[in-house]
Amino acid sequence: MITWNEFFPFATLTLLLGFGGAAGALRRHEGRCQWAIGAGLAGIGLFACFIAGLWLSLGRPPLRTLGETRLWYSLFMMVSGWAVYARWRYRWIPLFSLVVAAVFMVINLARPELHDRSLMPALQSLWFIPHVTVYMFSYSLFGCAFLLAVAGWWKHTPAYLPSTDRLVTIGMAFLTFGMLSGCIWAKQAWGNYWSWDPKETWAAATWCAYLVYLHRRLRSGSPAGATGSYAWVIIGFALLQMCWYGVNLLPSAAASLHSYN
Amino acid sequence: MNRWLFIYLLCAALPQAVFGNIDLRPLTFPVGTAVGAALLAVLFVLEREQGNSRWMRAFRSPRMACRLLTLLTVGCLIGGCLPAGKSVSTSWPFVALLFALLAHLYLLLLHRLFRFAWKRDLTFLFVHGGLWLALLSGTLGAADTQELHILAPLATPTRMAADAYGRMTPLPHELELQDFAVETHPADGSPVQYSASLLLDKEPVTLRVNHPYSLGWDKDLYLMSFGRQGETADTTYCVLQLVCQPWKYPLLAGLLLLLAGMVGLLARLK
Repeated sequence: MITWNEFFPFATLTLLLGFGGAAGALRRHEGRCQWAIGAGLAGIGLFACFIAGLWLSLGRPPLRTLGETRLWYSLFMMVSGWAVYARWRYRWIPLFSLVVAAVFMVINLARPELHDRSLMPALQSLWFIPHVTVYMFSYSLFGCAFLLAVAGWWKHTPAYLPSTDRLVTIGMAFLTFGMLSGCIWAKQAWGNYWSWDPKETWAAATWCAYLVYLHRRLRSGSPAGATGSYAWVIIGFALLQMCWYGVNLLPSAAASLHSYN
Repeated sequence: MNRWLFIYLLCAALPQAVFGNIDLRPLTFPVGTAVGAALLAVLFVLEREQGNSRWMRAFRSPRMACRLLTLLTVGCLIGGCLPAGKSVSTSWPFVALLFALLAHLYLLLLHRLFRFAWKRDLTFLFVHGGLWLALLSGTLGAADTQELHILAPLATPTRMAADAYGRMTPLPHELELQDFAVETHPADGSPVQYSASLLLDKEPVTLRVNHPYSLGWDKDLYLMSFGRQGETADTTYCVLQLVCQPWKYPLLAGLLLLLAGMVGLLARLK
């Protein structure tokens, strides 16, 4: 039976495999490093086994608390990082995405939240799993887009824009699915598709920011520079962090319908 | 265009300063729907007659979309920082921005529909049409949405409810709470589901969290809360919510169209 007590060995092994693979990817200057991808995938598989085991031992999907969503974010961040490497061969992206995943694992080790067995009545819905996992997957894609945007801004080059476009487009599709499934669930649970709750308001801000980026990129022949486009990806990512956990720090969070901790 | 947008928002800020947030009550059906239909008709004629003018092209452009979305991001950011009880969603400038976005989307859709090509425009139509329909149903439908809260004491029939302004109003149905049950997790005894057994116009009905009871195409009854009165530890009343939302199906259609558009967007990605 895998419980929260086994998180440290699983996380350590995952990071060892991941960082080993990331080092292999960094050393290879041409093409893809197959063994590095293999090591990265092994790490992802191991971490997925931990989440599956925790799911079984809890008797409910580990998606309720912030700590539990961080598990999924770490998993999807690694998946997205390796997928971006396999597709576009940015050899530094597995390392950076792994560092982000590692930060969230360390936060979980430092601040393990209550992981009890119960799933409160408000979360007993068919929409619970798709709503949260799809969000976490989109967050990880936006995480990779953020890394590319920072690199592009730092190097003053538009070279990262085509990859950022694809990541943001796919991320937007998944984020939109997360929002729409949330709307339909909210109608079932609370009577309204959208109620401008603090979490929903920050989600709308995030959605609009990424839409600004996509529409900026549609303006062919415009003087809009790459720097401005990268800035919107960075703004979008900052708003995303606010929507995910930053909103809990605001006084209005106490009255939020989305408070399940 | 920047200057006109600024003047437009300034005009919206004036009633905000004088009257505060928008009172939706005068905009219930048929007033709100008639005003909305008239605006759409005016925009339709404008697109037909002046579709290729410099102004109309500028208003439909991605640049305009960026401006409106940037302002909406700022609006949401302000709304996200406001304390509980204060809302940006019914403020004049925010609603004016939503109407500008609706007009932008509508003109964009009309322009594409007049020159429609299946392969080129279907995903575009789903994404923008879905968003437009959902926004239209949400903004115009806000005034027509009615939420009534009902305090249902155990074994006492009730026919009264409180509206959003706290006024008591008669219900078209008689409700009586017969029983309230809490389902618990076998491992730690924590609650996993609440259910209320009711008599609704003498017919037995069971309400659970996430499982509303439909009272018609536009009305749903929800279990919101429960509590006890007096010394006893048993549940003696529950709070129900009756939501009447005539725009719920157009809004749902908009959401589903947007979802289909997102699937199309993914399928087209190279």
